[in-house]
Amino acid sequence: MTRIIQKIEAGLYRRGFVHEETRILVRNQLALTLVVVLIGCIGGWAWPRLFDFAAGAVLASWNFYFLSKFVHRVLEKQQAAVTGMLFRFYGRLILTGVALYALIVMGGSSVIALLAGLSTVVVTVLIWAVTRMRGKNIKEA
Amino acid sequence: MRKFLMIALNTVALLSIASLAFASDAAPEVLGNIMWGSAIGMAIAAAGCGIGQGLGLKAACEGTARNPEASGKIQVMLILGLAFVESLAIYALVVNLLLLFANPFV
Repeated sequence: MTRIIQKIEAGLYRRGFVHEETRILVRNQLALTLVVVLIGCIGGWAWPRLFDFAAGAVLASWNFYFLSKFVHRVLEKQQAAVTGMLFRFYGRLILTGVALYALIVMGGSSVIALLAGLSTVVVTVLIWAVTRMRGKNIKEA
Repeated sequence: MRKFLMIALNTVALLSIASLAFASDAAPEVLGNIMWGSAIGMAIAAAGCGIGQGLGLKAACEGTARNPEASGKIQVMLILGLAFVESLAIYALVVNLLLLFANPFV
């Protein structure tokens, strides 16, 4: 698992995630999604809600990845930030809407499982905050 | 202005509930109200989130311009804020999709 996380981090660095904290956040989100997808692929055949949970997590990660990438770029270059942000926001929202429509209406996915998957970003942020607080305590002591 | 807004919102709420209460099954008025509700709900959610994200980004750019050394901290906080704002929009989207296509009450 450590090797996979390191590989993800190296890949993110190559793709322009130069800032360490942002890279860690995106890495954690991607690693969490990987775990959720694995669980979904293994247990989804017996309990289809796990598939929906994994689909929600993939959607959340996709949104988070492109959001972080855009913010990273904008704060480095600061070109057409607000306009670009609005266009990208609506673009992502439309694509997410299409995916959610397909999952809920066509696929008959469980909405609760989907929402749980979409909330993985909150879990990532919580993990990040807890590890940061721990780090601070250690430094202060 | 506030009084007028409250009266208008109350009227809309009462009208929506009344048609729902009188409908034995999916009457056209109920479906029409659901469509209006989800369209207006999504419009408010998307517009609010879009404006919020734009303002957050503007403030972050200004902060970075004033203090370039703090750009790392600003960036992390901005990404977290934007991710939460975007999650809100996606939740609103899910609720509206449910109202339109998978409504358990119709």
